[in-house]
Amino acid sequence: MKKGQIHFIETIFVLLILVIIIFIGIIITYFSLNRELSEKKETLTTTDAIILTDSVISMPEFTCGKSSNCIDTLKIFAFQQILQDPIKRKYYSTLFGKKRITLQIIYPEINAHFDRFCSLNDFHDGFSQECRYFLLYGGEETPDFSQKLESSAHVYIPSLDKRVLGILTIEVLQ
Amino acid sequence: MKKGQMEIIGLFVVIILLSMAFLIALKFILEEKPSQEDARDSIRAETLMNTLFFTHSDFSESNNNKLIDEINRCIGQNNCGDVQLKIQNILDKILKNENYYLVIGDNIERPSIEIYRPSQEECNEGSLDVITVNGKIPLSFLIIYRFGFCKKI
Repeated sequence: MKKGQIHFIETIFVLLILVIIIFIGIIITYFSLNRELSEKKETLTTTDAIILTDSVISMPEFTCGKSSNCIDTLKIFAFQQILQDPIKRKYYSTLFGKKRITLQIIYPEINAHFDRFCSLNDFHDGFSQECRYFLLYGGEETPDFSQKLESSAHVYIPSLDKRVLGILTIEVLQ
Repeated sequence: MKKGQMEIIGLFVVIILLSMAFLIALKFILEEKPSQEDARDSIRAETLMNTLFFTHSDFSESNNNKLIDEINRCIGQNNCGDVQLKIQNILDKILKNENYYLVIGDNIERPSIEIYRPSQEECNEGSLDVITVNGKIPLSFLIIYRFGFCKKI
């Protein structure tokens, strides 16, 4: 082999190794960026749900006004009526997105037998104590969700003028 | 300078450049991201305590007692067993699988209510990362509480 040919092969090898190094660099960068983006997406979804949890409690549609961190049960039923209007429903679907928002009474305890959603009928004469859940937004069926966020809140029962302890749950649908 | 010497210097330059690139990449990979979770937990703890103390204990119209009244009374009578059990049940329901502790009393060193999950030994500062919220029970001058989440590091 001539000296010129050896130099040529040497240059080709150097270039080949450089291309391989660049290629490996691109692959590593791609995967790390991809991982970072999916982590960021998850963080943003969580942050969004956290903000929503805090804002739902202070929304005039639900808050009892007497104190912070309190949801008025009567306002929940009034809100369900508002959602019957397609224009308003569209507005709230933009606001809440693909989420289900529920409220559960934790204390004082309600008999485990009564494991259902409350309706306005349960509040005709005080509180029937035969239900424990309230549906604020979304369907009654438990959906497939990717994330679930919970926050403690007072549940205000106007007919009794009592604030009981509840959990506000936001499920981010898949 | 001979050609061989120049090639060796070139090789050194390439090695130095590669090590610098590797160190910079390592810095980005190992960089610790600030945790939003701690801030969220302390807000959650505060909200939980404020909600818990002002919760009515009963649905009946005649009884207007709140949990804070029961705590005040039990500390006054030096008999907090039932109230402690009640609070523990509530917190277990709300916090589900999370580890936490809550101590309430007029003397925090010898509290009247003392709840640890999973146990006091496993929920001490040092062995676990503890996020604590301290406070006075509202409307009470003497009673103080300390609540915290105990998280494995």
